[in-house]
Amino acid sequence: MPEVRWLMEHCDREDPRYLNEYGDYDALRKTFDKDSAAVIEDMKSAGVRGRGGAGFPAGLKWSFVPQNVDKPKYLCCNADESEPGTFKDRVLMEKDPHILLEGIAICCYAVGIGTAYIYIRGEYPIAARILDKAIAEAKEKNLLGKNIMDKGFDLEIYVHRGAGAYICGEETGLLESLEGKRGHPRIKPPFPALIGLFGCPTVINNVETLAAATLVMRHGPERYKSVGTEKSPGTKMFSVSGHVKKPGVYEIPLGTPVKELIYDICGGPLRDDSPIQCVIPGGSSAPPLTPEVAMELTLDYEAIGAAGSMLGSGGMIVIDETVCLLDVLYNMTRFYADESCGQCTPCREGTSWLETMVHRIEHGEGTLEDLDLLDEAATNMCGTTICVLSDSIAMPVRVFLKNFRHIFESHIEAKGCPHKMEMVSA
Amino acid sequence: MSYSDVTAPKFSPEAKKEFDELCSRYPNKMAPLLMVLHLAEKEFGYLSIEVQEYVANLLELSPAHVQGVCTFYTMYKLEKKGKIRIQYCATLSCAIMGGEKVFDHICSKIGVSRKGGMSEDELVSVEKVECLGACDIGPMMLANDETHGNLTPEKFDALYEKWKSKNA
Repeated sequence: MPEVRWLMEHCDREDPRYLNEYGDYDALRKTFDKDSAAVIEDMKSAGVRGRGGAGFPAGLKWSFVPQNVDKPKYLCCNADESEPGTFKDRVLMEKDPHILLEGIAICCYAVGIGTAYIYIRGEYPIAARILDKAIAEAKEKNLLGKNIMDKGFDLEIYVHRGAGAYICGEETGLLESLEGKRGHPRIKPPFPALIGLFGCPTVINNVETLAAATLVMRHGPERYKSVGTEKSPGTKMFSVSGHVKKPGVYEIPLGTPVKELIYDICGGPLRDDSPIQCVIPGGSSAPPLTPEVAMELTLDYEAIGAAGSMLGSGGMIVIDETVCLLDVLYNMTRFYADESCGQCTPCREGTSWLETMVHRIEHGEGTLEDLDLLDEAATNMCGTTICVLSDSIAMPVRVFLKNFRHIFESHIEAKGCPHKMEMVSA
Repeated sequence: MSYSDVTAPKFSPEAKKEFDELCSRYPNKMAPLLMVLHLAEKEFGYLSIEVQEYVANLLELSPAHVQGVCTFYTMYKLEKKGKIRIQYCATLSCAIMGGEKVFDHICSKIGVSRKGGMSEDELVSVEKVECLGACDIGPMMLANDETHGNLTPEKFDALYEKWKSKNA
């Protein structure tokens, strides 16, 4: 299966595609011909699943928002893309901003929303500027703003920049941050569909999910699900980084074999003399797979899930034998220790202890008992916190211990890295 | 107010206009805070305690809340940084592509310790940060708003020379 570039049709260019080339929001025009229930039905029928990581059906999410409330409703587009190994949303926003804005307008029409915020991570200043410009030109053409296309529908879209915090990609951390606070995730329930931004009903969708809404409304749900698998229809953007010849963002039908993405599309392993040692399929929160297991899998939510990992954000990191996997794990634990928001004890303390223990073993100061301790600490971090940041490192640690135990043991035995590999993380 | 009116920071008329526009986007006065801090940083260079108090006052928030937010997010400048501020990615995809070596080179080139810091002439500052979302071009960094990827010591040296001659 080759690439199927539906979302990314215009991403192969230097400059962003602005309105003069994009056209006048034909998908939104078609959307206005339907009532809101029919639009949500189209999204459900297309089977678009949330592309931020959880894979929750988007149409269903939209339908959870109550129709008749006397409070305002909000849409938050999650453009906080902070999962290590993920960079697809940035490419889409920088090259084709209007496909996102049109998708936002479609969602807002379907759910009855008058204000949308694009929460974009602070590290994407260029994408934020491009979106600002795209919003301004769409307003000028009456494609956004008051009485859009004279259909009596008003929508304001604002870009809201974060300022460097992984946790704000968690949907309730994002809400807190948008409200001008530290990004501390909220206890659920209540879910944002009922009580979200400013205490009002709120839809939170990833950039790629909303852009997919544009495709669904432009070409119909049948075309959307003509590729992909039955349970994971459509295309998905994968960000591939690490030790492959051609890293980058690729859009492929869900269900494409891992092997095809790595070998045919990304050109295979970076070095001919160093085989792949490990594949992280969906961002660094996705438990790592051995190449033997990974190469037999297809890229859909079900297959990757059944193998004990997750498709997540589609951020695939390929690692060859030139680096020490304990060093890799240390880098990951440090990231989560750094990014823990500090609210919940198991996460605040646990992430730092994982970092300390992995560092100790990596540097030859560990014992075999430490491996049990590491597993126990990680186990106690699962399901004991407000959000899943804690699980997002605890699970990979446990799977590293299970799938790559020999590497831990050899470090303990040799009292250091047995291959004397250079450290990639200080 | 704990600062004297003489040293008190104050938005220029243009920044005040931008501030008002930002406030109009939200239904209350707390929500614009992150955006207003970005604006204040652009206006005043960095977010000193005085600037934080000024913002708190404008938005009718407690200075403690504003400081809490300033320190939670890693991008806000709480102290003076170089004219070129390098945020260097230390996360996995960049690290496995040899990011650490280039980082060492940058630190020694600008004359700071491996913890990062600012060059003596205040031209360049460097700090390690987590994933910047450009993993396919690792090792990479942000220099102010510009992304530089596939970094090598040579590539950095060329950039450094360019910055130096531009700011001579």
